[in-house]
Amino acid sequence: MVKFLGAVLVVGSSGVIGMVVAWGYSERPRQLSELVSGFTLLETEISYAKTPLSEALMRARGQKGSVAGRIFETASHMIASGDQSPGQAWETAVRCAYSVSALTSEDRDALLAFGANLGSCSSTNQLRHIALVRERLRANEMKARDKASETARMWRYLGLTVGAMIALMLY
Amino acid sequence: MSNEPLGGKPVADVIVDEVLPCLPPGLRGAIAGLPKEQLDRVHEIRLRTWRPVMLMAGDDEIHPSPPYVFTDDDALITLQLIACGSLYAFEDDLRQGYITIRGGHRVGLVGRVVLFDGGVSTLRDISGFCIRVAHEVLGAADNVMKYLVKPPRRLYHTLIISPPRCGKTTLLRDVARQASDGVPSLNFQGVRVGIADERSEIAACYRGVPQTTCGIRTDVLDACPKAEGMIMLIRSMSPDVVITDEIGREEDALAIREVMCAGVSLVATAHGGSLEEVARRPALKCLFEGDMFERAVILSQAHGPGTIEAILDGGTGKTIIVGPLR
Repeated sequence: MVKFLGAVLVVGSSGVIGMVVAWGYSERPRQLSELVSGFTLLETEISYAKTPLSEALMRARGQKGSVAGRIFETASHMIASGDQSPGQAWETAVRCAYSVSALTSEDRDALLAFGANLGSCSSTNQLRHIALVRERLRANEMKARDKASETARMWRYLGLTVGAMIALMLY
Repeated sequence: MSNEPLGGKPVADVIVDEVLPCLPPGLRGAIAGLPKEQLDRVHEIRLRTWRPVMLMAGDDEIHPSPPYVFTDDDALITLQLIACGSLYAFEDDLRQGYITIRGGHRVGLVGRVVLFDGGVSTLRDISGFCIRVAHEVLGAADNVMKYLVKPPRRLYHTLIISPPRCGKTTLLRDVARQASDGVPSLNFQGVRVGIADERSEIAACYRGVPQTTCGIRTDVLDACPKAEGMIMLIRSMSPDVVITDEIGREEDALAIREVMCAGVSLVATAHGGSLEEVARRPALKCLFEGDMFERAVILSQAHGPGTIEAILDGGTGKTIIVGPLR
């Protein structure tokens, strides 16, 4: 009975690990897609109304609690407080959200590069920077989507299979 | 007449609450440390890189003690704070050389001009700031309103003339307020007022909201070229009175003719020492050929800003009152 319970635990935990890794792969394209939407909204705010940055970021933040929402909202508050330059505020916001997101270092670097000229150039250049980061994120999203469809399924099965194998070996 | 800053707050409080948040932290402390009675007299703060910070109170200069030397890092931080970290949102203002901050205070800027196609594209390497603390003088027009009101519900077409720094805009702002709110002592009910505020000086709008008391029936078209603004106001807001500042270009004169011929009263200001001087300006000449202005108010500095030298009847050229009067 104890052996059986142990085997169930091993298979279950191994399956959960597989699911978590698979979630990371399917979550990343979704988070990237939210970021791309956020940058599109930000572009509209800047090109049409020339809304100041803290307000524009707040309006473009999209769903509260999402990674994009968290980055945009944190940066907006920090810029409004005036304690940090827009570039520094953006960097802090990206680093904070990165640790709890499914984004990779490649995505993080694209986001950090965007902050370098944030708020310190003309609207034409600001829009160019937005277009650039959006393109990079969109390319990352496409790659992540392709990878996710194959890899996420594989990790789900792999978790269960490895768990079953360990259980058999121990039984 | 009460000489007070916006919202009736003492100047020292206005500086601490609205101007200091736009300055680098070190400088905030240096200015906040000045005696309150000194700060209450301040109307300008001058910041120039690698030179001491000065506060202007009338003709006096006030220096923080110990002197605070404004560095180029301070200039960068100040620009960032003034522009709310969004230079792109103030491109047009930079081209004009000033940014209006919360509270309606105007920050003049100098630096290196970038040209594009022969015109000013933007300013870079900003090295100097002149922060003009916004004041409004409620009641500045008390002495002139009775000469400008045309019973029962109109204002005469009026031109306020003076050299710079004589209180033209202050007087104009109060004329707008009194025309909008009404003047019970003259049995004049308030009328709809439209302000074409090209340089954000009359209503001092910050994000679209007037920071000055410019009347309850007043609509402001902010940062719009005044010639276009006057016509847009007539089309969109059907004002009884159109107010605008510092006319001087040919297109301004054409727009003014349109306004006057549309049955709308017009009150404007122009730089000049006398009616004759303004009438000789080539762009404005046409406005004086048909005696279009019915009143001309001449200001001077004789007894301080806002001194009324004379009010003339534009049609006959006769003097209605002669100053100096304050």
